[in-house]
Amino acid sequence: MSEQVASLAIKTGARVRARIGVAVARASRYQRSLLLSPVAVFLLGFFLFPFISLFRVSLARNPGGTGYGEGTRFYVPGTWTLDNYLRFFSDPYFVQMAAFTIELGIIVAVVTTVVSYAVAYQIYRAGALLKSVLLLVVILPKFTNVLVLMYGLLVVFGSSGLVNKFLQAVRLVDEPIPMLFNLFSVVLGQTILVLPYCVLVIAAVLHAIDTSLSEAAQGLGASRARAFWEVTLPLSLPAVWVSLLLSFMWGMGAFAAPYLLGNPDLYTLAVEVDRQTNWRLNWAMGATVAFVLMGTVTVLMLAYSRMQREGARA
Amino acid sequence: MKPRIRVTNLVKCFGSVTAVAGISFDVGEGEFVSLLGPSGCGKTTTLRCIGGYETPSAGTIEIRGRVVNDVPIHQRDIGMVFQNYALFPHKTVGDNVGFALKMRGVRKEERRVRVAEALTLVEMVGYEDRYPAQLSAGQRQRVALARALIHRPSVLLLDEPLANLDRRLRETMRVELKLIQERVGISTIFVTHDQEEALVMSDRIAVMEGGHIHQLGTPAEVYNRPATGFVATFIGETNFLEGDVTALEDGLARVRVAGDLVVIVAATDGCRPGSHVGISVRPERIEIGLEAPASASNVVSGIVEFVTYLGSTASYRVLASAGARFHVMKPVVGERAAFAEGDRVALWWEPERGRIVV
Repeated sequence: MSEQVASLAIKTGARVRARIGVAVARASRYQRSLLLSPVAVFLLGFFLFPFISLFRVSLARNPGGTGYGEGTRFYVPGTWTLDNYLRFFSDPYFVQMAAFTIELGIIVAVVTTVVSYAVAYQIYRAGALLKSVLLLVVILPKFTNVLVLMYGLLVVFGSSGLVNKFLQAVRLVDEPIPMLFNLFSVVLGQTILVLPYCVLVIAAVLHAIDTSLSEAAQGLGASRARAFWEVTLPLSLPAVWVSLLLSFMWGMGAFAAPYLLGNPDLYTLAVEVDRQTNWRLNWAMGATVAFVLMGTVTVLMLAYSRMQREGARA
Repeated sequence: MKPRIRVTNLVKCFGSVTAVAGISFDVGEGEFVSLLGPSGCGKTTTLRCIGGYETPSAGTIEIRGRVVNDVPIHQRDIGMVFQNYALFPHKTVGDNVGFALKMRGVRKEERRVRVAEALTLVEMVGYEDRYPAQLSAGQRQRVALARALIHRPSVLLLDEPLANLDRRLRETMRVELKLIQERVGISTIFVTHDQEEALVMSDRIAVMEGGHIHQLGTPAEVYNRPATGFVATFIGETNFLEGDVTALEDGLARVRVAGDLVVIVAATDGCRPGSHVGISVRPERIEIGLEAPASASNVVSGIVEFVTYLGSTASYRVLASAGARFHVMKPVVGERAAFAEGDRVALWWEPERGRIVV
């Protein structure tokens, strides 16, 4: 069913593209650039311009002082300096935070991908009804607000929350286990935010794998687990790579989970951007942290895709 | 001698739908048995039950005398070729063919030797390092066959393996497939909806419809002595007449078909005067001429309505004066069909050429 919908969507898309293609070919160069203008205006006005302005701010001197009171300035306009970047890379506070952000990205990527694969595989194997139910459950968190979701976790995982009550009831533990405001809760919170996307990506690729391949493997003497290992898993690896990339990027950009479910030792660069900008009113430093975060993600992503390409060649 | 495979009262239901309604058959050592029928007749479901891909709702399946109902797929010792071949796209031809050996823990060097042997069998030597995507449909089919045979399984299961090939290749492959099967001497079950394929390749054919086996017999048996009207019409072309038995004498039945047309045919056990029967007469068993010889029985006169010229044969559609239509097929002698549209002709056939079916 979902495959039919997907193939229909692809076909329709191709038809629409073909029609647009014909129209574009007929149009003059001038008319063609006119077609692009809404996108161009949007990207220039709402992405590129703020992006450049923000970069400019990161290169301005910070005003010093508390930032509060009369004549407050968030940065000193018209000044040029690399001080903010130098400070970032020389201050252990920032460097450690950057290191932790990368670490969190990796942990979230691995945890999310492993859990997503397990969930996606169950969806793949399930019958029609269970499949719909599981998909709904996976997507449901996306219907609620991030804050609601995070506070929901507070209720469930608190000292007198559902999970601890259950563990005590079955006499697995005597004292409630601290499950909040530590790495566990941060990873959990972030995983829940990213999971639906990764599950959908992996489930889509699994559904595209011909079931007769696994059947053929079993017919040739592979147990179900061996058939999975030899056939299904290798054929679904592209989805695993995408899932790792998606969840790593989101893990590194984590804000709500570390902020609401973590403690200051577990704050990420994204949290620091907010603290510099909104609390310390040091826009120059806030912008600098934002650009370091973005630069780090970009470099790691490029390295990752290069690694993958070489892996594919080998 | 025990049969290689014995299916007894096999039933398979999907929810409220009964796909296989209690069928039984044996496959002997080295025998090639086809399950032939239209789509939805239960032939593929039967094959999948034997392979272990479906769990029977009732009945037993034995391979080499052992009931395998509860044996998981990978322990059944089968070789299966799927309709779409199901080659592993991420593995080379060599790894595809050697897969069953790898699963059985055969060492790499021995695997390489046996893969080469298997590829020799299907005339695909030298393709070890290619990927399935780099092969033509016919080559993929050969690789799939080599992969299914390499571990010398107890039984070869073929699920419409020729359906995805173009006509010419299909005709070549069915002969080759049969030759390979004979050379290996493996018991084979072949699922197809193509009656020609079944006739060419099989030792025996099980004609299936609606989850039942209508008839199980050699190609000559099911063609010449169809057990039911369904078998008669599904295998080859036939003239199917219906009527009431008016008299029985000397093992022959007189059957009144539409109007004043009376047909004489060999009687069967069940028929009594007054019983309603169907009669099948193959198009090539009917004689056609300007006039019937005086000794002929079952003489029908009519007008040629339509001539189909096929080079070596010609088929005639004849509208009989009694109102029925007959289909007659004859070899072409000389360059042109013997009769033309509008010709007045006589048709006749000996009583033993027709057959009563139920």
